[in-house]
Amino acid sequence: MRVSCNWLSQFVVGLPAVEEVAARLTMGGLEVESIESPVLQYGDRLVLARIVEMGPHPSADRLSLCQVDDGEGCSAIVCGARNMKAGDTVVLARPGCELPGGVRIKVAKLRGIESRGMLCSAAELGLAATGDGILVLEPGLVAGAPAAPLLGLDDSIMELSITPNRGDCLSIRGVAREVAALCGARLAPAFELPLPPWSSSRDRPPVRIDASGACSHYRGIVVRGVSVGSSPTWLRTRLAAAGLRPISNVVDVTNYVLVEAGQPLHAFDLALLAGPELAVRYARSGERLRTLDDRDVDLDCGDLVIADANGPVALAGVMGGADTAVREGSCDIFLEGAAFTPAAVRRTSRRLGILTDSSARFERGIDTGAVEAALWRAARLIVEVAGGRIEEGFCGDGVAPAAGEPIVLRSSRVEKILGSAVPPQQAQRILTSLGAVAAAHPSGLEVTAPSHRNDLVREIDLIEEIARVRGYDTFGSELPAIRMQPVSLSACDRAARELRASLASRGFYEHVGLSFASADTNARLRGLHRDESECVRVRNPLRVDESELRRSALASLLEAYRLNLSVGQSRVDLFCLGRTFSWESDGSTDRGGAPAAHAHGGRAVCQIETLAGLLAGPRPGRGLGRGEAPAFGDAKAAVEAALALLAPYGRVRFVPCAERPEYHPLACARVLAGADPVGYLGRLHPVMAEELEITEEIYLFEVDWRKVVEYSPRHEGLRPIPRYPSSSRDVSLLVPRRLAASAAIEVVERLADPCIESISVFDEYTGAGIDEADKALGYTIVYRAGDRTLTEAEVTALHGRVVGELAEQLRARVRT
Amino acid sequence: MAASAHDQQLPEAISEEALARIQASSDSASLEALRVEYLGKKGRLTGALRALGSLAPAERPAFGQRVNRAKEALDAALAARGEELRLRRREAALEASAVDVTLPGFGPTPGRPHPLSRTLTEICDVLGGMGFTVEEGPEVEDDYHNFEALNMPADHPARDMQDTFFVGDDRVLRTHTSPVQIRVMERQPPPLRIIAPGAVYRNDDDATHSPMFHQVEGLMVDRGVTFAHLKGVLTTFLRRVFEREVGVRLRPSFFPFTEPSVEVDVGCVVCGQRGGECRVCKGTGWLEILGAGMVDPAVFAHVGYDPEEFTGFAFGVGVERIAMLKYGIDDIRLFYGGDLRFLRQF
Repeated sequence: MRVSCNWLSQFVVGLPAVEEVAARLTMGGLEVESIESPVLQYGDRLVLARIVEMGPHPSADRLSLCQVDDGEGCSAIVCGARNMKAGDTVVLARPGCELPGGVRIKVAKLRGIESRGMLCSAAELGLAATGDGILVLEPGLVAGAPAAPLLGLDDSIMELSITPNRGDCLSIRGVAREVAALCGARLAPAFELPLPPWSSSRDRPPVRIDASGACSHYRGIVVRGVSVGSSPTWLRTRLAAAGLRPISNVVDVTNYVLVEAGQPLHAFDLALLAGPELAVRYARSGERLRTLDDRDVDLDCGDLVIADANGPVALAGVMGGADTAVREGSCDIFLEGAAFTPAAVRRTSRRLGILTDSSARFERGIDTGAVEAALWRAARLIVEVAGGRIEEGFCGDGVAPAAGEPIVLRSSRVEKILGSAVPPQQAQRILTSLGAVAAAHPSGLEVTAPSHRNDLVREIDLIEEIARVRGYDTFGSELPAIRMQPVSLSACDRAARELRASLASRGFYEHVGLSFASADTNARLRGLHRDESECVRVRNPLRVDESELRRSALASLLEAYRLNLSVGQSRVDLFCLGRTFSWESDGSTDRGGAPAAHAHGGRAVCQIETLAGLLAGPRPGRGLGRGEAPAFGDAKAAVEAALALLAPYGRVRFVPCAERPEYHPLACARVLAGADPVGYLGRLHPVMAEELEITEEIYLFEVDWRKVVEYSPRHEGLRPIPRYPSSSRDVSLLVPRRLAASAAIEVVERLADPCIESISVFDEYTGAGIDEADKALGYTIVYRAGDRTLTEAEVTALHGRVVGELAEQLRARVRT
Repeated sequence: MAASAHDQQLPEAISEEALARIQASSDSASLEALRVEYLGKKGRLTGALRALGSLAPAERPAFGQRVNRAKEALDAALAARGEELRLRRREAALEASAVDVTLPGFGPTPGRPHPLSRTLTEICDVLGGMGFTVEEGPEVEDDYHNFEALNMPADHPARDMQDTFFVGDDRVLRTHTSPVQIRVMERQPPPLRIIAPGAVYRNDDDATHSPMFHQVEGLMVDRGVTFAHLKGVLTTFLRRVFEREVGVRLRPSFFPFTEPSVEVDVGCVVCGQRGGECRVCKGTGWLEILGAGMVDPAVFAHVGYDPEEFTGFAFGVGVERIAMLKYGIDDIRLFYGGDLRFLRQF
């Protein structure tokens, strides 16, 4: 909201300097975002002047010579423009006057004739960006009067950010009321809107409200015999200060009153309205309206309209229709002022995407008690600037809503909320300054809110007003004395920190990617969601490639990888922690832990907390050198180390997985926590790499880490430290190349022999001496008994049995 | 026989020769050989002593003393040289195993958590230390929790302040972390001190706005919680987070779910409130840092708390905003690009 200080000063007695007003408003809750102050002081160096005589310059074809009356006498002015004539009122910059752009006017001889000043164009005064010809004002202005106030050149404009609850401050009067309350100033007599001389309404033409839920009252007033033309300068200046474009004197007046009083008005050409009556009703399906901005709008039965016999003539509270609008040549006008409900106006305005100064005010709620006063003010102004006469009496329907019930404000409650007592007299003074009526009440005050403050309906609303106007800085500040409760980091919060620390220590940088993805990306990277689950589409995305929520966190890692590659980074090890999304048809919270899906009419959004990572580029091993490309083991080590913080090492297992389209079918593992699949780890599928134009071998992982946290078993209790020595034996097995090394481990674990302590792989060999279809796997098996030292013979016998089982179950040959 | 004493080399001569050879010896083996050669059973100095018998009795004591002195000198020289060689060996061994400690350590150089994670952790740690526990909620929220229960019924103009992403089925991408307040209050009775960090979404995109960003929501509800406590907690919080005694200013504002509502400004941490040309605070000396307020009784009504018995305050702080101010980051989009040249700086 742009607020002109000149305009404001009409309503506030002794308006303080703009800086002080701005500071008070900001600290009172009406944030002043910026102030435009005049740079130049014109005083009497810039005045209105009348051209007495105008003729050609005797020695220059392109110049004219004017005799100009500037109130103190006539002076000769040489001028390059010719758009003016004798009798016109113009703006004269006298010698010494500085104009925008650094021009300083001097007495100058132009082709032999001394010119004592300059006639100004709108552009030269900074009122327009371009434009030839000097500014010609309307007749009737006094020559010699300072021009700056009339043109708003001495005005300061504050840009206010008005919160949605303060519709009353979308007007100069509303802001003036705040300024008076916050600065302790008085409101000027001009503040009171003039009241019409009649109180009853007459039906001429009859108006009927058929949608009383959407319009409490509607008033019209007829002004006959107006002449539509351009507005006088003062009116244009006011509108410009408010950021509005002048249109015609009648329309400009409606806009003027809208800005001044906050009441939107509309002017119809009475002759263009088809009788016998106007109705405020909902549109019927199939009805159309051409709006003032020349759009043809299809109406639906939720749109509130004003309709004549032929159909809708205005979108109530949003915009008038083009066919019945006041235009050049209109003679009799019907001026509308009404109280439409916020919901009705908001609905149509949103549906059609038409946001206007009118809809903005109705949406926030207008002063329902001042509709008639504003209408009367506008009618009188129209007569002032466009002539005509007001036909006595309003027509209309409905009545203004009665004032709300008085609100009891308990002093005890004020203290309970604000932490310190506010004397009732002070509270009363504050509330009165805001236009409320506050009377004493046994427990504090009984307050009736003014009609312009539709946001004051509860006790708490009044408490806020008291705090706000008194100043938040006048209240104390203290730390609460609390009832102690055990506080601990939640398991998940702690786990997330540990994952970050672990991966960072292994060389990974954390990436935070946006949750959006393109449909294409989601089709390619299915993430940890069930394959058949639907993607979550964003109805109103910012960009096409952000039209869905991501199923997988890998996409943004791949994107970051490509970015880093393009700027010359070689090793790109990244991880991210964030959610991924899909619709789950069944509303249970089946996936994703605490924040997961929430049931809601069958469908729910599954929101999985995902740990994802990417490894690319050479990484140093032991010692220096250029390093080696990442291998599966690098990725696995990182995932194992990270997850080992969530569940004991060894409990998270990795099994071959060939069916994920994003991973290499023979270089991918499914990650299991217990028996539960929790994620994947592997090399980017070469086909997908080709599609993405990635030439390097890169590794990816994606894990539902919350599931690992949930899985994490409690400590099982201490096993005794072994008292007897162990013996270990190695065995080398020749097995088919594709046999998993874990197969042998599983065989031995299945034996469940109490004397077998552990089995681990120490070697994998392919190459010379071994058939191409085979590989050799070396295992170390540790034997130990809990109650004695195993003898050499026992170990040999046991080992023989183990090797026999391995050979048989795996069809392995034992290498010797 | 007296002449035979002169046949023998003089002990001094032997000793002189031996001392020179000891000094020249370069390892413990040759040193041992010298010891045997001179002082062994058949050693030359030992031999000289054996020749004592052939001397005149009167010469014997003096000669004996001379041999002994020579022996002692050799012993001492052998020991000294031995020690010297041992030290030299140790030196050599150390020298041989020297490493260049300035070479990089093995394995990858460590990475870092994201600056937003760091900031979020700091925020949560400060508030955690004041007794707030971490809670969370869904990022795809239903209309009820994101708006309605927060006193923003359908058609409330305040909904326009929050450029909402819609995903259908009455769900939105949460526009703030405030719905977590509702979820927690629905679940448990007061007293409550919770914070809810997480991603939030607004349909907005420029150098200071991202369609996804992060907030931390805070809520305290108990008997006797007042506006003064809101001021006290937020002032303490901000001073801890910015690690200095920043000025804190509370301005009236509007949020549908709090009343009175507060916009909290801190003294500009960039220009130190000197104003002037500061681009960050635009010369005002103040930075808008968080929104807060006393929980609106209507919100309590939605979750079945008695607003006459319990009062509370809530606040929401932007993580990006704080990180940008702390680290001097001027474009919010830097956070989400994954550019290592950016990420390495934290």
